[in-house]
Amino acid sequence: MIQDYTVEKVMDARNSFCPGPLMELIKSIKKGEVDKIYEVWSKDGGSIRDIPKWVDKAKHEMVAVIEENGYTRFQVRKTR
Amino acid sequence: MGRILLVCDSGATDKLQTLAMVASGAVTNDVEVYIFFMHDAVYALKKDAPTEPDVTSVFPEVAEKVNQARKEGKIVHWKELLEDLKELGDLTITACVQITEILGLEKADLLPFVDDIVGVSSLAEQAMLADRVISF
Repeated sequence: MIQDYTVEKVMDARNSFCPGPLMELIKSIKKGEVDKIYEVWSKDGGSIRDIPKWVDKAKHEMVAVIEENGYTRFQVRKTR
Repeated sequence: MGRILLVCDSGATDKLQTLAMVASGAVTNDVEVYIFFMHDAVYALKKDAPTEPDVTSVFPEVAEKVNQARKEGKIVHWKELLEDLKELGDLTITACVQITEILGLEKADLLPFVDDIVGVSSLAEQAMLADRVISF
């Protein structure tokens, strides 16, 4: 897959259980710039539900959810 | 979205870890969180608290695996989690005045994320203001 956007920052949280990956994403988005895309990697089973739910609730944009071998990449655009 | 009061009187690592995890779920859902630490939990807030005890469980396998995950850094430590949550949402952390006086502690002796030392009347007030109260 060719992506036509740039990811500002990648957080590898594959070594962290819930709520580590979500916390990493939230911290980066809070400190980040609007319109930039932030990506977190997670092996935690709860992330597949919790991260999209938080993104929706916080009114950011889920750009992509990419399944890799044994983990998931969540790409989120900060919108506000 | 709502308001929750969390009360913890235990210094057991697993209780404190659970408290922080529940707080994280609340804060990330825009819930206002007020935490009241009592008794042993206040001692755990000391800046110079002794070495933290391992997680305990009635099931040896649970204790063994959780402690291993902690050693490997796979579980965000409760202190780090609370510190992060303070920056991310509406979280107030307080310690019970009675035990701080018994132990001769002042606010400066406690971890920086502690907002205030308050009495049980504040606890009662917060309980009445909260939509839910959870104790650990």
